[in-house]
Amino acid sequence: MRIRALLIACLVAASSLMLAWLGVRGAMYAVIVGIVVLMIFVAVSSLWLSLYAWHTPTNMQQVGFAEPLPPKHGFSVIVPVRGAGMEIIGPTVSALVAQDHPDLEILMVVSGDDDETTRASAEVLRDMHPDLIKVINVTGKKNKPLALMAALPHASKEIVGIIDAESIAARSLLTLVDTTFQRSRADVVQAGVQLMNYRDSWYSLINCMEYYRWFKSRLHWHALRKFITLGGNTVFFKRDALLAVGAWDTNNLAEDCEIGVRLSVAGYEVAVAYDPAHITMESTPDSPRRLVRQRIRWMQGFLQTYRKGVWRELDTWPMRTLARYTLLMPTAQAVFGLLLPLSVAAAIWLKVPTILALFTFVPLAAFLVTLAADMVALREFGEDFGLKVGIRDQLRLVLGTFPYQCLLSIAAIGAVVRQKRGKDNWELTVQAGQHHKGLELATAKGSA
Amino acid sequence: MTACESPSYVPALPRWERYKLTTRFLSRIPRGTFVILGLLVVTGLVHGLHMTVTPALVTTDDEGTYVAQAWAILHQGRLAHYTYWYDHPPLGWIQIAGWAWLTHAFERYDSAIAVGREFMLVMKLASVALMYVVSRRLGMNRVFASLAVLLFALTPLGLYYQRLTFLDNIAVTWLLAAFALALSPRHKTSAILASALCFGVAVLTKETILVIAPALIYQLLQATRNHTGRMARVLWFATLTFTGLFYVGMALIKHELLPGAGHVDLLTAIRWQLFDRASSGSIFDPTSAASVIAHSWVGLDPWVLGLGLIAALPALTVPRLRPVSLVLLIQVAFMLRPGGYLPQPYLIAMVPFAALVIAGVLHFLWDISSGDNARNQQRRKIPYTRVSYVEAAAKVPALALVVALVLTVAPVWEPRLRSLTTDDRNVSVRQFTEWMEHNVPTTRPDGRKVRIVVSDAMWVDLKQRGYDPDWYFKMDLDPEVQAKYPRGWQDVDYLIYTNELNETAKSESKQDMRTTLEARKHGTLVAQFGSQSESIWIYKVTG
Repeated sequence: MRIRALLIACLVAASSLMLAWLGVRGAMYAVIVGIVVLMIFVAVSSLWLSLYAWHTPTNMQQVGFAEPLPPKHGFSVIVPVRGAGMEIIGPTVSALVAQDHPDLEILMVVSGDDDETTRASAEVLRDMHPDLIKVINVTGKKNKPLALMAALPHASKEIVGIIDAESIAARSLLTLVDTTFQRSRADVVQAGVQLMNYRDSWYSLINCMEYYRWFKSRLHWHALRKFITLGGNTVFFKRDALLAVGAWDTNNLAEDCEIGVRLSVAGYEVAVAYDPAHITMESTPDSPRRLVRQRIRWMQGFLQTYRKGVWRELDTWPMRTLARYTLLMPTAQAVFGLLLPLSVAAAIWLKVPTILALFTFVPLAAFLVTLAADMVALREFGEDFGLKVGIRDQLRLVLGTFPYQCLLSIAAIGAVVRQKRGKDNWELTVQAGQHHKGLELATAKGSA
Repeated sequence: MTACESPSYVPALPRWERYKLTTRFLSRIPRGTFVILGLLVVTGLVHGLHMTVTPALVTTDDEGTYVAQAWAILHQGRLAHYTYWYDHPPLGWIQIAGWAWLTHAFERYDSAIAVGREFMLVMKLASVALMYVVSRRLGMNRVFASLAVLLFALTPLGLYYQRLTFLDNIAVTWLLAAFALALSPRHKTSAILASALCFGVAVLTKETILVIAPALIYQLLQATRNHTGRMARVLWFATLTFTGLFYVGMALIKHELLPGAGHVDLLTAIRWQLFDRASSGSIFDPTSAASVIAHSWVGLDPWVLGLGLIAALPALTVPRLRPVSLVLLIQVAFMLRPGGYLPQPYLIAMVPFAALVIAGVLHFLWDISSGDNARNQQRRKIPYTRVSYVEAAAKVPALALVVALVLTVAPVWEPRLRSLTTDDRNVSVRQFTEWMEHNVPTTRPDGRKVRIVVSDAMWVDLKQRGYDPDWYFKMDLDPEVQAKYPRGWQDVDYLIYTNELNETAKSESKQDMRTTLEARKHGTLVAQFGSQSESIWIYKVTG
């Protein structure tokens, strides 16, 4: 508290000095310049990091999996299930059963006391493959990290992976992940996750593009820099590494982000692979409201991780700066999104010097360049997955980006408020499993 | 106790060991660095010697205008010493102002134009380094890359114009940077993006550079045939567009985008640049202004432009030389368009690409004569042990051409380079300022500052010495200036008449020059300095 008081005193002193030196108008200009500089930093840095795969042709060639090697490691795959019937977990499990990797066990975690349908479905599946599947019952308080922690003692293999209940894993995913463990020095492999239902709603397209940039590009940069927030799905750990850092934090809203930070701090290496042919498909939250709630949870999880402060144990200040940047940026970016129209309005309506007015346009230009990059990414997304991407989709991207940014801003404010008030209970996103629509036949087969 | 005597110090190495360490250190620096340094010294010396006194400062008004505009940014906080009317985007003289501000240049020289000349040297040195990089990235070896640099930097034609404070010189440096970055060997997207930024700066420095865009885009397309190419291309276009839009944004913020009563505007200025400027006539019509300009170019050095044009067509058959020869050809086509306006500095952007094309074609001849064997050895840095005599003999034509080029060019260049590096064509300007300081007080007996109608070449010099100068060109065109002279020529105290003013008076309408011409008619000649193009006449006007 004393440090905070000192900080506030310094701020007050600095601003009064500024006022004295520059006068009211000058001080106002200085504040505008400061805000605009921050906005430029946020916009340019996040554009540049999200373009990591596009930095050089070599980068682009290295985002996928390498040529597969014969399997060497055993896999324990945890599938946390909640509120999902056979129509959702059926395909998930059959996709796992159909893996071409020989050494595999599936640990389904269900809520034994309040989710009877899920438990029943899981047990039906187990009875079909008793040698492969175990069902683990949890009772009492429930959330994803608790489910994972409950499953961990049952994991007997060298590698522990997580596949979400609504995810269809590609047939050779485990073999390729195994290969990545063999070819790199990685202790953790994050495989790509991709939202696919880009035509379902106005925001789903942009949500899909977020995933595309994140898993295909940005995460690779973080892996290279050895500070990474992991995803919660299709992520594979060496069990020893997992146990060494104490596995998941059951109080964190974004336990995937948090464990990534602890593994990074402990010096474990992470490999990321994004390969359209072996992607794990998911779908977007089914209403803007759910999307906002999901984001509140994630952003608050990031803030919790920041607050927890394990990242402070990093050795060098550039690493600590990177940690601050990574953990605070999702929230900061969303808040700065709101400032964009404000800055443009200020440039036009406030009587400021021309040069300053021009300067306030720089973030807008950066935003538009980002949009152009997104349009290219959308087209390549279509090419990667053999989907039709036409003018209408591009138009939806252009028109939807700003409203989407507004949703994120609302979520950011929500996350900050909740964090301040100390609320940290679940805001669980219900997945509709929309990408399953085309797979109903397969489901029928798988569960028959 | 010095470090050498300290017990923990490792005993001094024998001399040869130390020598080995030095060479090892030096060998870590890319060899190209030394070549570039050598080229910078040579070209810097030739450019720098007498650059502030030759060519004469009063031969063109443009130099003075840009310098005065840079001065206005620093001392008056506005984009020009008169109402800025979007004749050119302001980024060129903003850069001059930046240099002057950083180095206190206006306080260092008697004549302000020297500030601009100095900044041209800075840009020239940057261009020299960039020319070398571009040549290397176009596949030339060090010798031919150096040849390209020397052709660019030492041709008297180039040197003459590169010394003048022209926006084109600044723009060319940025253009070369755009090419160098587009040729990024690792195909970095960041380099492509930076290339767009540099090209944007080039265009906002001198808008005519935009005609070169197709050639640069061609270069870009060549360089982005890879996995990240589409992203790079789109980012290139987006970045360039938004850089350019800042100029439009400036006009928008100042409410000067569209025509309206009582203010200047961007649209009218663009229309004037594109359509309303008086045509310079056909270059093939011996009486036209264009022909006079072209003849003055040929008079300085016919070889670099001539050979560049000759080499440009065969260069089109070599894929990697195609973009640069396209730059040259586009500019020639633009120059020959009927009814166009041909400004003096137009050739500035042609010289570097002519040099690149010449050196590139010569290198191509050299290169095809070496067989695969020799090329592979070169790549692996194995000394030439097994190169056959046939292969060596095949290099003779290329070598002979280089020698012939040097032998032809040297006698033409030598006298011109000598005069450019030894002449002093600034005597009249120095005599003039000295005379003014001694004979004309800065204020009149009634307390008003002495008003002098003058060419921009001396505007800053007089302003800084405490007078109240006005550029003759604005006397009847800028309402702000007109308001200062309600009685027209009768409010003028002195008129400084130069050869350049005389030429302008011939070409501009009498109506637009009336105050100046009236002042001369009613004035008395009180002093005269220099002769011919450097002449300066001082008229005392008593209304």
